[in-house]
Amino acid sequence: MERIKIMSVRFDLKKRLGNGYFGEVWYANEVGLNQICAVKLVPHNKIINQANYFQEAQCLKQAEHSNVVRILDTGNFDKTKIYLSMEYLKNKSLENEASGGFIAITRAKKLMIDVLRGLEHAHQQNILHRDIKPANILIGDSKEGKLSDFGLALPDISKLDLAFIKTNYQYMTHLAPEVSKFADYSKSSDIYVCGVTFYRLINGDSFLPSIDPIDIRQAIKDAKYPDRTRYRDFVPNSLRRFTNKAMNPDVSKRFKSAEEMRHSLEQIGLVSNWNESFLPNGMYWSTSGTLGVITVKKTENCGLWTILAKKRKHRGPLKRITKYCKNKINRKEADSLTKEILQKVVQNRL
Amino acid sequence: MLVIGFRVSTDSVAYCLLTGSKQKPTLISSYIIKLPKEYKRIESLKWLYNEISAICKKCEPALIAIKDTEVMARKGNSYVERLENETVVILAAITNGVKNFYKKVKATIAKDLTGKGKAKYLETSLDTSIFPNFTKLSSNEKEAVLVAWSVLK
Repeated sequence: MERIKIMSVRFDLKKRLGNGYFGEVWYANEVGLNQICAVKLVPHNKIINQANYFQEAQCLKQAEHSNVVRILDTGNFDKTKIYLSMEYLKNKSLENEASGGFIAITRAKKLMIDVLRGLEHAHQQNILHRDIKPANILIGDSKEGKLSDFGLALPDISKLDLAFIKTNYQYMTHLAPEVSKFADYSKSSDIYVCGVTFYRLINGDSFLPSIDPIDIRQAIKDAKYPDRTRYRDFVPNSLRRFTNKAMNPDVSKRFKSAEEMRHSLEQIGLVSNWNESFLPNGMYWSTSGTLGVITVKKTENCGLWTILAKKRKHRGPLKRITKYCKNKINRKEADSLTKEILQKVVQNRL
Repeated sequence: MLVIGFRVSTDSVAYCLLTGSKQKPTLISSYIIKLPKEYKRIESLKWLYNEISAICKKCEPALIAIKDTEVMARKGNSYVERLENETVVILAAITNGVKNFYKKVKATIAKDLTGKGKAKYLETSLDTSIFPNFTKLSSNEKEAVLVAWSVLK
């Protein structure tokens, strides 16, 4: 009893950061070391492995890496809950950063490289994450990506009852097609999920089609969810091929390991990011960086399209890029030309 | 004793894993890792640090050997960049449990392997047939193998 009392005052819980099925996460001060941390409180009845309450913490410790969130401590919080004390990352998660939209393509690439490095390390320790998604990727102080939430990374998951997860629509949308029960989960399934996560990051959640929960598994098996043919116009073909390979429903055609996937991504050169905005009758893209300022406007008038591309190297007014300025063209030509210029700028090939 | 030999350049790092003794070396494998394209310099260095750390954690080498820049080539920006990359390699290795490192130029490697301290003896007096696929390796990988071989006991 005395021990519990001491435990309950170890953390000064300051602010609730979030809550979910498995419990709550608090911004707290650990009184003993006077250090700020994030404390996850999990009720006993929500712990997946009832035989070992501290398995998530043990997995985190085993997977310790600069791209995996650091575990500081674990134990009983009170009679009904356990706690996991972890490093507090003030930049929160990638889901907070993206807020449903897309992330700058160069940043998405770097973050995915970080995530794959963390995953590679976890896989080397024979740990499968099983729940990679933007909400479980935290942003470190140097803006690096860190894998978090190893709640499903349990070694003997086949023996556990996970029926409740099958009712979670969000989770089902990320599940690899070959996984019909948790025992089927493999390293390759984690790679598939990284592909889906990357797709979400570079396109935004609006590119995920809305599908009835009953049909979602079949759509995933048929490679219709996410839609492999639909990417933002500026996403280069090399990056589309990379993402589609990671999301290939056929396990043998995916990347063989997180390391292979990471090396493949590292070799895709991306230099510029486009800002995208809607106009009443079209779209507008702009970028500024090492290439100078470039703008592209695609507008429609009476069923015909106009493309206006402008560039400025240093100071001075924006000048038309004659090669890419076209008047009164059809939609197909307009789409093709816009894609060409946007992708060339992203890859520094203009 | 497992030794990792490195041949660092500005945009890639060739490395090989070598074990055995100087008389009977075994080449386990050799690789070339390319630094990611379009990274800022600071990001490249951090990437390289992480990469070498992962290799050292995985392989747990007793020591590392780096093919040093030849004296005549020690000038210009590319030399500075190569030197920075080499420093990161050494730093990553020693923070991940490697106890010692060596840096050698061709002449020193030749002295250790052939007993004659001139670079040309690496071409004329050294029998590399002990490594089955040595001729198929890139020149940087070959240098990584030779420098690792020269530090074997």
